[in-house]
Amino acid sequence: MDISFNIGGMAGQGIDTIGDMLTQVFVRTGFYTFTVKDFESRIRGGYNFTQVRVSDVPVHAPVDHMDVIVALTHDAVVGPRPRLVDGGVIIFDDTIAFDDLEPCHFPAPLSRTAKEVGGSVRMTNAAALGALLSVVRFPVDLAEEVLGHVFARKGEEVVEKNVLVAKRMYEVTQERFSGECRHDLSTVRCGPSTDRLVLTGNQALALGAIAANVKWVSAYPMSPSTSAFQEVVARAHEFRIGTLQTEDEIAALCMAIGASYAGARTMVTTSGGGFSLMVEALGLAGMTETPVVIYNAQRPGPSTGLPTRTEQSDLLFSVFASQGEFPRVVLAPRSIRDAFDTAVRAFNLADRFQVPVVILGDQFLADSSMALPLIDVSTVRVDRGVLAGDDDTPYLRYRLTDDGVSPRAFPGEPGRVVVASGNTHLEDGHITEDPAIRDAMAEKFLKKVPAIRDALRPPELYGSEDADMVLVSWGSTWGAVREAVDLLRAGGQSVCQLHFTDLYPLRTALLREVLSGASVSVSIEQNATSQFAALVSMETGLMCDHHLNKYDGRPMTARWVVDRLQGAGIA
Amino acid sequence: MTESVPVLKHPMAKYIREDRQPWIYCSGCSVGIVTGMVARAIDNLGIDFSKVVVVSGIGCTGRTSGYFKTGTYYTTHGRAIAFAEGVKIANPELEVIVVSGDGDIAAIGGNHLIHACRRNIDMTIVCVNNFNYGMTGGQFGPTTEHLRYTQTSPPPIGNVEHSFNLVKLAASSGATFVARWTAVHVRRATKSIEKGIEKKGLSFIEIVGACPTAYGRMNRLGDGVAMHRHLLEVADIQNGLPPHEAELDYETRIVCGEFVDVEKPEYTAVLREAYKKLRG
Ligand SMILES: Cc1ncc(C[n+]2csc(CCOP(=O)(O)OP(=O)(O)O)c2C)c(N)n1
Ligand SMILES: [Mg+2]
Repeated sequence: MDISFNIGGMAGQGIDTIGDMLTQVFVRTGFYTFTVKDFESRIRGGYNFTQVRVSDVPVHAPVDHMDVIVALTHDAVVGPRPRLVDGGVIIFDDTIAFDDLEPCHFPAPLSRTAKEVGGSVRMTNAAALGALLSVVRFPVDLAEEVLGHVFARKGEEVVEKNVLVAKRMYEVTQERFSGECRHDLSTVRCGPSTDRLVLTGNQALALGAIAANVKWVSAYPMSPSTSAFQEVVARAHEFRIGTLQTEDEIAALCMAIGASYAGARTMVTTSGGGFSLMVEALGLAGMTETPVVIYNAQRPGPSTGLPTRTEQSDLLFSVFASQGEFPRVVLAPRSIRDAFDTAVRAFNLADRFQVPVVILGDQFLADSSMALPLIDVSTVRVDRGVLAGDDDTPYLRYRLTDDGVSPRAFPGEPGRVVVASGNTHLEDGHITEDPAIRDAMAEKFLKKVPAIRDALRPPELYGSEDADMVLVSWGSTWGAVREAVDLLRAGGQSVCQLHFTDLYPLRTALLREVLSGASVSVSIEQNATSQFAALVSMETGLMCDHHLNKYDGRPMTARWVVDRLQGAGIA
Repeated sequence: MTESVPVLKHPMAKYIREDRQPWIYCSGCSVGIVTGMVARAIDNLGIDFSKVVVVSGIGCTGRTSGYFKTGTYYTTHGRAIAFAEGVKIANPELEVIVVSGDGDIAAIGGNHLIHACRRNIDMTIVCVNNFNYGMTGGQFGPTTEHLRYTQTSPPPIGNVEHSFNLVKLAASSGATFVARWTAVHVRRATKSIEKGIEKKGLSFIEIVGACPTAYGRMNRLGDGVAMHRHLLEVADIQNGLPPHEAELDYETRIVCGEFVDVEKPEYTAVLREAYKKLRG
């Protein structure tokens, strides 16, 4: 089973609510879901949709086609029609004036049923849910079991009415829908999944930060990062986390660096435009060896770009941002679950090596959601790195050591003076222009890099390293490319995927092996200039033979990858 | 039936890009009203519309610039004023109007605001104060009142910070014309915008508005109609009051009026004179 539901309409019409309810129904009955939100940068109006993909195996990417559509506006009836599969259905409220009826269209009395049975047009969402489930002949007893839970957030009386509306619409649809839906779920029983936690990428990231004991988050709101900040703010009292919404991103990172100097684990959340403003402070963190985690939920740039869309075009910017040279780490989670782990790893890496760590998410990862198994937070390990001990007297914040890492201490600790400086400094932190010290401090930075690289995750190879073709990918496109590999292999192709989550400093051993072994290599990225392939070639001298680039701001799908490869005659 | 229906053109339609309709704004939002004020002010003055440049930063209010049928620039968040200074200095013949939100102008762009006021560059800044960041879904900003609820200052605590009084800020930074109205004072606000445009110097006009979708809902202030009715009720018109007395308390009293109208050498004029003298 693999069905894609699409709920489309204007911002503010309840698209999210229907999508959430639908997700709940399938999660509660044991199916895997993957939900993406496609919306314009406006609070009301426009054409937006939520896609809920339901499967009996875990999926990590959206699809291009649509099986069942609920359309809340005329545009949403007409616009997505070309993407509807044969045997698909478009359900829409019968008050929408639309006359070009084809067998796939089902004008349904959604708002009327909501009013008549529930007493309020607000329950149109519940009616839509009933119609959706009915069209795919989802077993009514299974639906009954879960509907109560799905509406439970709304208060008892409302729950009952919503259930009634959904049930009534389910029946009305049975009676009146005369079309054919290619999906018939009447025989499904509960699915195999026991996953219960529905999280977005931003939520997973924020929860990972909390599990890693983050104590300070400062941010300025910027889509698509804002919901990560809001997730922390909502839990700040419970977990005793300092949060501050600053006047701009310059202040956000400066405050975080200040809090880190004072001893707190710190993070900032932003998107590319905000990260641009943080660049000066990024250099300060680098120079002063102050750990900080910077979460950049990328969106298409330059400038304000496409505020609510997705792209992977800040990679080289993240690697090179700031004047001067200093070690840093750049990570890109490959999935929603991985966003949690990436956050934890980012804090530990930042503290261990006393460097800024950039997490590159993107709008696709930030806003999509899926059901996950509960996360056992007791397995989270907090590594604060080397702290000054009794023998560190007199205390030297930048003591020259073999591995370049100097024990940390925090201001206010008795007997220790903790001096930091953005100028080139002596071991004690005071500024100097001594050329020998300048050399020593630059080399201190360089020494950290091999150890950082060893602490990073090697790339993941999916499929055999002897495959003829290797697809090189990074970050959130993992699921789409992996699925594309499955499709191609099912068609008899010899292909594998080499996927990176840890991007800088780049681990190159497996990369060299696989790239030089394969007869064809293809980089697949969500940007126009193949930034990762450029990084690979900078670090190894190796080139990918072909590049697939997607830069329309919409998430990648397996179909897109396969079609492009075939279209270019590569696969 | 093929009878043609006569369509009455809106009198301001000549300034507004109808091809961009419908507006992005929520029902009950004040920003559309303010767009109308700016159009009417331009119309009343009869100035050459092709010489008008409308500059805005990013935000719901910022989207206003794109609705004008003249040179407009939707810049980056917070930088509208800095950008506008460049436009004005490069070509002082242009009539530069900045329309943007409270967050854009007083948070991320706060530094540019005070320095442009200090320089006294001839431009008109219309700031829609809806007490929050509308575009990003309703976070608190520099004008959000103490203890109010927003997405990032949720209950039970609310906003721990205190708000700027934009009139006082602009006045003490050196603006030569400063006024405040609410979105329901269309005629008076339009008049002040006209005076601002005519003024040779930096004019700052705050329009207190409603964001029923975000701020209104979080603070149970009612729908757009209720919020605008409230603005009318609590407005206290005090033209000529010293700016440091121009209090703003959403609940009880919003002092409206024109508070500063002083003469001070304007930046581009000073520059021009200086060059003239040097050239002899
Ligand atoms: C550097 C940067 N940071 C953050 C944002 C996200 N952002 C866009 S509009 C906005 C706030 C808008 O609030 P305001 O200026 O009050 O305008 P309103 O939408 O309320 O009219 C923010 C934070 C951005 N575009 N650029
Ligand atoms: Mg605002």
